Amino acid sequence: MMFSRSIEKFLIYLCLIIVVSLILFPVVWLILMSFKTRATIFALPPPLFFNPTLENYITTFVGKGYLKYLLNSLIIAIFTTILATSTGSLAAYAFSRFKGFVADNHFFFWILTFRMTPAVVLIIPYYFLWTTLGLYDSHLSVILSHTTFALPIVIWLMKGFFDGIPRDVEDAARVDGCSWFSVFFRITLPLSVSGITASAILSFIFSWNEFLISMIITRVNAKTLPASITGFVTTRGILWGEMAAVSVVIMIPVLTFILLVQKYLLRGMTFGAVQ
Amino acid sequence: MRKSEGRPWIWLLPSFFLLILVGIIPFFILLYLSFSDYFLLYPDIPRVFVGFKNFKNLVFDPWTYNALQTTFTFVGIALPLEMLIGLGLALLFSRPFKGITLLRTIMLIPLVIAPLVTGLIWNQMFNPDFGIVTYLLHSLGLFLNSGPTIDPSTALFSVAVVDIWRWTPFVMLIILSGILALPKEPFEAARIDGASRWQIFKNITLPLIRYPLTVAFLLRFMEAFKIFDEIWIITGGGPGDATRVVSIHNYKIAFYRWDLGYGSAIALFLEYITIILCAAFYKILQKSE
Repeated sequence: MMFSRSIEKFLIYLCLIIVVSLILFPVVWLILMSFKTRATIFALPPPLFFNPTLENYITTFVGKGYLKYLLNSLIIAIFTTILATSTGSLAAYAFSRFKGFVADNHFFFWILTFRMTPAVVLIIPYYFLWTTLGLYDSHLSVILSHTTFALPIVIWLMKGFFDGIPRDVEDAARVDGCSWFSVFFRITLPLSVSGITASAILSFIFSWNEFLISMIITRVNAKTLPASITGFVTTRGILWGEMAAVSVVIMIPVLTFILLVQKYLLRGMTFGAVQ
Repeated sequence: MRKSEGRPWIWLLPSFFLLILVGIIPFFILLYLSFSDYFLLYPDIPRVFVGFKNFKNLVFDPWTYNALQTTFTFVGIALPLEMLIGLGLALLFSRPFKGITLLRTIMLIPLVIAPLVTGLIWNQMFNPDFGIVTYLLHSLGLFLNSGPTIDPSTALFSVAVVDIWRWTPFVMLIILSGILALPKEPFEAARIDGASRWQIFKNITLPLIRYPLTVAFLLRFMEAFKIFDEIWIITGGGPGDATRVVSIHNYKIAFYRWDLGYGSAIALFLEYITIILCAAFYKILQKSE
């Protein structure tokens, strides 16, 4: 009995380790590739040990001006986050506190459809809209476009948080003469800091990772890091090392964020279906 | 002023303003373009109203049908495998082991990596000349003169493998949260009654985690249906049309053939399907409340 128990335990551990290695392998492979020279990348079988080089990072971010795209990505993701989190929290508060206003259920559903709309559906109208307004290839147009997708995440996630905050305190403060806004800013918001952090990080991750829309509505000025990746497909073949270096830089912030919000990540990605 | 703050509209205004600008206006642009002939290649030719021509095209175009079929085949390969493996892994990861929290955290990694980067990694690993996956397959005597992504018969399956790598942890974590929230009593009672493991799983666990299973299924369906980045980077919709899913089809019609009228018609159709899927998801969410 004891013997079969420990065998079972061993087998489960083995399975867990195999699964986790399968998940990690491609990521580690990419990180290794970014430190390899062109010759090492093409070597078969892949060498276990090689002399790591920073060449790929230096060529792209110092030599080729990818620093600018990195900056663009940061600006766009940060402003998308601020815009979506601030306006989204207000809307979520309305959905949470003013139950039963005209068609609130329909609006709430309507907001979900924005998050689920395929990006490819929106690229034609965005291309058309931003060129007409003279905003093609500007930071503002990318920020606004990304907000379409980030806003629903914030509204859904924040509504769940506000629902969890008891109304008694708020009601008491209002009886004492506080306005709705001062109750919201002084009582409700400080109680939902973790929710706001989670929404902000999820918005940031979305905007930071987004590829198709940025590719269509930017050219040089507001190009983001993901949109710049296609530039590595050259007539001399694909520049794998440099592409890997840029990919690793795209990966760094999101991997850091996992540790901060792992509890809320799933909740945000499932619209609160998983608590 | 005080009174108006108690009205929902004040709070909703900023969001609705944004959503009208970037959500509603684009919808009307799509509607407008889908009723006109508009080729970006010839911007000087004025757009003409063509009635339902683009929609007639949509109904009778075998190419679009093919793209839809490819999409559903892709979903049909990836989704059942993700659900099955996800369920199995959730059972595995639900055991209390030393270090299990760390392993669960690692499972989150594929979820947050940019789809584009996922595509790039696997493109490199599938590369027919020097990719590690192709290299391993070669040493097994498979795909000797090609690679899994450039052989039309296996290309779609290969991109499905990438989707499975990326999304199985997501399914697993949703189901896992359901399993961890299960009450203990029915299991103890069943064990006392001498039920076998399989019986317990089939008659108690499975019915109790029906909700997370449905949520995972629907969310995955919606996401898999609109997949673009990964397939675009790995195969570009090829070889031939082997991986030309409907998103890629739509993109190529609009920005390769520059036929924005027809592209808009397809986009509207996709939006229609999205709304139906969302409605199903919303119903299930509300039921659980």
